Amino acid sequence: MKYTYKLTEEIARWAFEIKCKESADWYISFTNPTAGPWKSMKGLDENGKEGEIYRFGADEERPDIVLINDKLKMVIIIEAKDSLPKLVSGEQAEKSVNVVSDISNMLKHCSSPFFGKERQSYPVYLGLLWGSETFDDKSVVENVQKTYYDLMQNYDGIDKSAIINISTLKRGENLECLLFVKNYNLENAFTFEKQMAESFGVRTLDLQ
Amino acid sequence: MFEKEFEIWADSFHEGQWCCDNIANVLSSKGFCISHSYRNGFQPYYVMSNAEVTLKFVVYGSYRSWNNRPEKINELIKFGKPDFVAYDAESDELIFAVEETAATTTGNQSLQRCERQYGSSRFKIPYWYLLSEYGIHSDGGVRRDSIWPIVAAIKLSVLNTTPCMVVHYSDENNLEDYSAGKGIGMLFNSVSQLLINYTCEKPLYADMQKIFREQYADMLKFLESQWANIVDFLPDLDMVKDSDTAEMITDFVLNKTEVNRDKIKNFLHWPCLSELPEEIQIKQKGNSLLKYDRLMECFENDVTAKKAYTLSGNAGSGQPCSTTQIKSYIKSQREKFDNTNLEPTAEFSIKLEDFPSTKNGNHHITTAKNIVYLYDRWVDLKESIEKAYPRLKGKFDFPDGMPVFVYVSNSLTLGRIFGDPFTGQLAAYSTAFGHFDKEKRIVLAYFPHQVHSQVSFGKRTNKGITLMTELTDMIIFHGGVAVNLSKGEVL
Repeated sequence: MKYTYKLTEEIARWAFEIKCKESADWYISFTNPTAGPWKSMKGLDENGKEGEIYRFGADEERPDIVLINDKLKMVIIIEAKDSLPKLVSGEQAEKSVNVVSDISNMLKHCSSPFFGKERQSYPVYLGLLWGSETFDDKSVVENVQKTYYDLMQNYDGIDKSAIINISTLKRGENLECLLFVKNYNLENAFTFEKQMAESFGVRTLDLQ
Repeated sequence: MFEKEFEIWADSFHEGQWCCDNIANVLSSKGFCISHSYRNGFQPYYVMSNAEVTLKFVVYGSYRSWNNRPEKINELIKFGKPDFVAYDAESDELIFAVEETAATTTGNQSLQRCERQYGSSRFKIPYWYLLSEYGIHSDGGVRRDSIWPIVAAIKLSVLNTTPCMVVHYSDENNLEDYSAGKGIGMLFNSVSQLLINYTCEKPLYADMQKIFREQYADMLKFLESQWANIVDFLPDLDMVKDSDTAEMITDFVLNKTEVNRDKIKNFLHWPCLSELPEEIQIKQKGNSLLKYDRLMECFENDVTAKKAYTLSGNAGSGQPCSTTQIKSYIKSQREKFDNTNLEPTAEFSIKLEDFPSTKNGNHHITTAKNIVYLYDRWVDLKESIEKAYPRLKGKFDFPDGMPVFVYVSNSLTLGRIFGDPFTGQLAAYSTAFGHFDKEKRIVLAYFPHQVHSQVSFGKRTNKGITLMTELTDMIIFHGGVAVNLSKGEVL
């Protein structure tokens, strides 16, 4: 490779977005690069036509990715950082949970034809995505989960039975996205994680 | 068979992929086969080929993510980062640069990115600025784009004999809609042809005369229909309306045709006051200030005295600030203010009481509503500066008779004058109001609320400092401290 790169948030997030784009089941409703035609949340109407469902205010906090899956009937709202520690640095976790809750509540009352009534009842999961250059340490990951899980208890709109995690791992110059579902109260956690990994076309993350 | 691999350097991977997808749309309609994959699991990689030519693209998203960027990219992005740039590593050449925005084009929005326009043009890189012609303001009303990116683009095209284009998407019925209007088609038809010419080793602009003529014609048509909503006077209106002007500009820019050289070189030059139409001269009257400032008062008095003129009698004021914001700002500026080595000494005197209260308890920060003054002669401006700030007496050495463009920012955000939107605004205005004209104007910026010690020579730089070093002749900061960035002088 001619140029070397740092595993920034942009690259970690983008690598996962590619997985979403390549999946037949996941629809990227929103992603948060700097600007461009991606500044609003979009959805699909019953004929598959794309349209705007929500436009963020200039100073409004935004999530990093919003995903919709009509097959699994769920929404995931993801906070992304270039490393695991940054997800819990300072006020970050509180800010992120707050944003997920706000968006989730907005979606549950969203009357846009591009979101549709049926989707209003989809569970909204909180997702965490980070970049990693080594396999993640189990205790560090669990601490991050716990911070988010504890905070989620103070907010409504978020499904509290699980947190969806994606680690974008840099190996040499290649990137691989790995998925891990932190189960809190799922009926069938193993199947859920397997289904999720398959839907994104990624392997699951084995914490060391 | 011609073949070339282009690197698409971009602000984000989305922008880079969007560029490639749109080029793919154009080329597939011309019979090219397109294939698409990802390198290393994340870098978009495209191959587009027909029987004669193969174009390959690899996207390098997020400039700052890459450690060893090509030096040409580094040099360009010092003047602001275009959304995407095509680069040929083999010959170390930048082929084109593009800035696009989904932002509603109200207020300063479209000027905010004009430093990228300037940067690309100064390196003679063909440049496109894609933006919405019609947008919805936060008040719910429909707004139309500003004229300044187009004025600056035409002047930069002529100055650097390199296409510098503004193309619009959306229309009156489809506000902010990328798929409406001609912009997307014009942009990607142009860059696709440019890349084919480059790959096939033809002259870069071969078979593109018509494409550029149409784009310049649209830019002029926009100017003709929109100028009166923004300024009281537009120079060379006859030429703007003339259907031959687009051809003249295209000929000059692409073919360096000498026939109309003087006419084109002087196009859109804002003249001296005495050369303005009489009714515009009569209209020139200074106004009272919202927030008092000695030098701003002198500028307004000079307008009344017909020593300078302003662009419009219809200028608006900036957003008021809260008491807390102003107090915190004053504190930060006072801490930064350093009057050591200033002879005579300068005084820090920003006080909360200086900012008049609004009805709802906030404070006006706007001094005069005007932020542009065009002086006929430096000597008149110098007199006002020395009256307002006696410490500057005898410190300037510009020729008395030179005309001047004065740019003002009342900003009350720490360091913001070196960022958005002021950097882009200054880049567009300096170009529009004569920094490079045959009859050059001195460019003087005045920042009444910002202290000079925010400029740290040689230590830390950003696009604002880079641009101002190149595009201003003098900056006057709070307390009447003048700085010449290009000479590294504090007066």
